[in-house]
Amino acid sequence: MQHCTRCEGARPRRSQDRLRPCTLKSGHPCDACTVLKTLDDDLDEAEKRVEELRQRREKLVTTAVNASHDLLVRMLPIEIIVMIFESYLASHECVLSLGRICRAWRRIAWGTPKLWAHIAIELQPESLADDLYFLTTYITRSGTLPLSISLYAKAAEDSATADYSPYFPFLDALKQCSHRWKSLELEFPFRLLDYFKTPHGALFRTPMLQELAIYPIYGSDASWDEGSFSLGPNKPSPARLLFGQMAPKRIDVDWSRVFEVEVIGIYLQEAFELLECGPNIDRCDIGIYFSESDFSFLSALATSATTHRLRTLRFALGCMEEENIQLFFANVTLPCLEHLEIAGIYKSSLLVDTVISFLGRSSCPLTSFDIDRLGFSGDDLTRLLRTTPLLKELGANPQPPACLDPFFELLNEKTDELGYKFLPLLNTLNLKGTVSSWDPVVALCLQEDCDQSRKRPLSVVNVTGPDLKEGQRPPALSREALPPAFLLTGGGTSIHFDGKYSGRTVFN
Amino acid sequence: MVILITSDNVKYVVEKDVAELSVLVKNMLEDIGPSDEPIPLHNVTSTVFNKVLEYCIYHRNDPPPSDDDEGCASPLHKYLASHICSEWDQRFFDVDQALLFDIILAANYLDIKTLLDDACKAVAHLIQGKSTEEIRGIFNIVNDFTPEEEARVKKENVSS
Repeated sequence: MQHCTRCEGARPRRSQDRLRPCTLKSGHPCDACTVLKTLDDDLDEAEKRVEELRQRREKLVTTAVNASHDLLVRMLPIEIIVMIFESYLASHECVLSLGRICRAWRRIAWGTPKLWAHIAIELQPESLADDLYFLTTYITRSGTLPLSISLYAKAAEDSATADYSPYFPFLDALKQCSHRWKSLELEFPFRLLDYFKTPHGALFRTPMLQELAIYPIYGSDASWDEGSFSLGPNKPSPARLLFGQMAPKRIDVDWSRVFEVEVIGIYLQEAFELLECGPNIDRCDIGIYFSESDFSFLSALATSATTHRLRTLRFALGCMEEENIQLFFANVTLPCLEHLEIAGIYKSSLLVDTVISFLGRSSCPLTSFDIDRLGFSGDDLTRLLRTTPLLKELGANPQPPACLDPFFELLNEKTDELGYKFLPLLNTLNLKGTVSSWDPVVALCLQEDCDQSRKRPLSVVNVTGPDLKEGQRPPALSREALPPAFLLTGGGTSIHFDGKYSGRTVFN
Repeated sequence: MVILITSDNVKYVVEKDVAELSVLVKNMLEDIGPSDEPIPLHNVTSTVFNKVLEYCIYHRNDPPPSDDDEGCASPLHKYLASHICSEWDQRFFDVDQALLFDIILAANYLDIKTLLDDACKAVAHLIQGKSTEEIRGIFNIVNDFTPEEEARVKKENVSS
């Protein structure tokens, strides 16, 4: 074998990176280079073949395999696939994860602006650059569609000295698309909320904003009365306003346009302010956080607060003391009230006379009444309900559990004309308490001897009994009552009797 | 009663209130007026229509879908709306993928909004909380991204 004097054992790293064959005096390459060239040529051929096979595979996968396997894309039109994707995203999933599945899914997800119109980002100090990228990507990909944006940022330990400048680009990005806000939810450190007002606030325009949710976060060094929100001179006018731990008057919106309010963690006196500053509020859900100052505020109230438009009030009273609950109902008048729910009375009870007085003073057309943890008896409940003859829906949870037998007897009493004497319009009944027999409850729905036109339109009955102790007997349901009960439930009437008796559900 | 004929020539006699859950059928009935003429359902086979009918009979007394669903619903509302709450519905949609998609197509053709919405939620439910690989497995999808695309996708994956 002739040896090459120039190769010196060097070898190419890749086939594309070949050594030039050497040339001997004879004009031919050495034997090794000749063999090497042959091998390189074979490798080239093989790699070309591999690449060709790879391309064929890719083409097959892209055009045929997924198209044949993926029934979703194969069978369904794009608009329905988009509906499915929307349902998927509604469960707090990310549109980006749809784009990771395959090209077809990515093409659909990336090409559908409405899948990008709902933005929810939890801003993390360590990944603000990525978070900003996502926010701007969503804003861009959603085209010109109205946007629903939810942003959450943690509060700094020391809110007074914290540097919020890394968040300013987010405010700028929000400002750029404020004309497209349909819904904006901000759970931000309260000092960061201040930056919306100035200097960024001057250019905010929010003509499409329907829902605004503001939840300031306070560090340990701040108190609740420091939070405020304003967009500067252009007041937003959302129909729905949600907020927490902030006085209503510190939210700078056009209150005359606010139709629905949902608020948690405000003081009782702020609830009064809310009812006064929103003259057109129709629905209100208030969660009270009571403070000692509320008592002096309520005691000092000279006149009642009257709200003329409010039709639905849900009032969660938290840990309010009994006398403050009484004072509230003694000082408020709601003449249009149709739906009242009082919930979460943990420490105290609600005096029946106070509620009767409130309802009498309001003269409201109450059709729905739901009270959790009543502090009065079944007789008191009856007395209260005699003041609400238009009631269609009733829910009550007397504490301690009341005997409901007299109540059901009263409900079953008929007039001479075979109409019902008590709550004749009642449609839905949810009660907790004891009964000695389920039969009167089933009888409520039967109305066999009733003139059709005078039937009570009762269609939902849920009665939940308390847990009985060992040896106590559950309420009876006679054999005669069973067939009509099943007939009723089969015919669309919803009847549920629940009660755990020695850990066993007797009838559901 | 209304007479409906599926694409494979199976005849169904259906109560009017059940049949009218389909906007397509309701409009046809309004157009032709009182008649004993059967209504052809060209795009629905009897296998699929059996399921559609089962759904319509069960949900015949449901209130009509609210317009609020399309409007400015809260995230919680949307979250709740995205879940199928009824056990019956969960059982109803527990069928193979091809039949589930056929039900969706039938609901779309017959214009039964609640069935279409619920069926779409059922498909979404299949992939909720699943990883990329699991979703590919559910639909037997092959990863068709090029290495460069895959790298970009993975970068998004890390960031999000």
